[in-house]
Amino acid sequence: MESNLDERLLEWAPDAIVVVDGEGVIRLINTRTTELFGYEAQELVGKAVEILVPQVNREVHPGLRGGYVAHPSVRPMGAGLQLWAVRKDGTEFPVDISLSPFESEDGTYVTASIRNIADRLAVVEALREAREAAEQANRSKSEFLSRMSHELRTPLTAVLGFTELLQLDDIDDERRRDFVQRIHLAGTHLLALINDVLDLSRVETGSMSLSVEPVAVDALVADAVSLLEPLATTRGVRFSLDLAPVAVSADANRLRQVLINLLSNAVKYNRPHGLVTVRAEQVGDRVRIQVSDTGRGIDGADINRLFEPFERLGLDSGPLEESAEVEGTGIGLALSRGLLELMGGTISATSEAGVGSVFTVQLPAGTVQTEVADAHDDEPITAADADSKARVLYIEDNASNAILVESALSLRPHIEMMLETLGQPGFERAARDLPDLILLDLHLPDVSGREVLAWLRRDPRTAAIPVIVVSADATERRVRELLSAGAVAYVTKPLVMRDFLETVDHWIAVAQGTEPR
Amino acid sequence: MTTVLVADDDLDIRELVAFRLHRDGYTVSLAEDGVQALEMARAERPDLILLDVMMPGLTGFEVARQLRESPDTADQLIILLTARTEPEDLEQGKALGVDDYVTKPFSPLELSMRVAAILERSR
Repeated sequence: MESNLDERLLEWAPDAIVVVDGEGVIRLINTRTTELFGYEAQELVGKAVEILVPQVNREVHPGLRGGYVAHPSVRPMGAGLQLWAVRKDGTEFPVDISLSPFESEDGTYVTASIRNIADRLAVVEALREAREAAEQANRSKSEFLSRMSHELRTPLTAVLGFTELLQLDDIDDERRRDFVQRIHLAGTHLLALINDVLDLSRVETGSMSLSVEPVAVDALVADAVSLLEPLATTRGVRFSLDLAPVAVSADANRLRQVLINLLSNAVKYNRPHGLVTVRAEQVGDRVRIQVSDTGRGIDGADINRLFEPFERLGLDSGPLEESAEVEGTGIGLALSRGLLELMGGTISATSEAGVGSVFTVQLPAGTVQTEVADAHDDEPITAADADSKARVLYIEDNASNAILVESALSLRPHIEMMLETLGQPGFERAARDLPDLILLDLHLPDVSGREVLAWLRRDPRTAAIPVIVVSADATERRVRELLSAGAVAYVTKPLVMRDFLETVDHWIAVAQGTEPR
Repeated sequence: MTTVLVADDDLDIRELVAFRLHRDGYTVSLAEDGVQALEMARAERPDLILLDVMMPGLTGFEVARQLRESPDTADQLIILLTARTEPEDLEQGKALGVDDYVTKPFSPLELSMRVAAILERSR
């Protein structure tokens, strides 16, 4: 039959063409067929056509073929069948196949044109994915607007509603003040929300300007912790800090914003009397900062949604929302992620139900000059006379308090801090090293701070060294007792960083004779 | 004594509505989330419930649905309070057969008039 066919016509065809007889034996192929399937022509001609059919379909194919030959008809390409072929090397590929029968004196022959459609399917798949992504983005945008509307309308209801109530004639002054306070807080919340949304929009459009420089992590964490101490105290939540002396390359203000967001979440979504742990360490050329809480944790399935705007998974952060100022805007984590990514960083979360959640920030490491903590250019470094070194002895057994104070004092580069964790060795160290100032905790494992203070006052070597008591016990009786026992100041925890540093500055100046008592 | 249950997770909204309705002479009780709202609705059988839609745990839609499904509370008067204003949200409220639908921000006075109208109508 070969003589009946114009072989050149066969060769010009864009597809692989295989002519099969009524028994399914390959009688003729073109060069495209050998290219497509990786066989030599003589390896195919004379073989059953099933050699080109994938193993899984090889058994059923003769039946299908027989059915076709019994009732032959033209089947064009694009018939919607999902067909696969197999190469000599065993690899399979998607194909479209058209079939056209023709009769000769030898019986029915079938011409199959075979086209590899892998590329076309890939394009179709890519288009489908692109469309899905676009639809998803569209849905997200509608969802964002809908939630935004909710978030704006709720505080607006308070502003407009309480304003209306204020106009009633018979409202007493106390109520009036309460309403005004609520209007103010709702307005403040609205402003915070608007600022966050604008920030997020700047991050997303790439118009956020950052000033990236080396930033000391411990000072920045201490700063954020001191801001959140009041909130933590109302919930009985404690902070534990484990900070290596590392620096990151970041925008200090924006990183502080991220840390405050993470810490306030860790406090708000913690259980009462829970713990918030902040760790920082260098890993290769990156710095890892981890904020862990001891809250209820987040469902694994939900954890990625955390970084979407307005996804408040742990919405019920507890019934005590009396401190409306710290109520989140619902955008914090989305914004944090955007800011970190702009700074070349990442953020991720892991969580275990009933154990708590861990938020991990990674940023490029930076080198920081030890003289100045970059994050604190707004902090007055008043007492920082480079040549007047001051030595401060801190007697404290609680490691996280020690780290917090150490971080605070790192804002005063001229201060060298010494730490003793027990009362007796603390006193001995003071008598031996004669520091300029002593910071004294009251609850020490061996002797009470009250006792240590008495020793310090009695011993002529240490009698003149000012002692500042640092304690969480803020009862007036206690404060009076320690002050009359000879402490020069009594600082209560949580530390208000600015006040604490001012007190320390003052008493160092007094000790060094540059300032009167 | 006419009783009204106000369910909203936002403290300001609860206070705002409670103040206005208390002033109008109703006995007001407050729920902070959907679960609490459902429990109190079943236990107290208030004359009317003001129900916020977006509450944690159980949404206002869900609370309304459960109340409608139970024969005891099927006739409960319900006004939905919501910050969602999309047509499909309004449709959903309508499908649940709530008695009225108030969008935030609302005027306390207007709310108070709607409450009075609904209670009047149901007499």
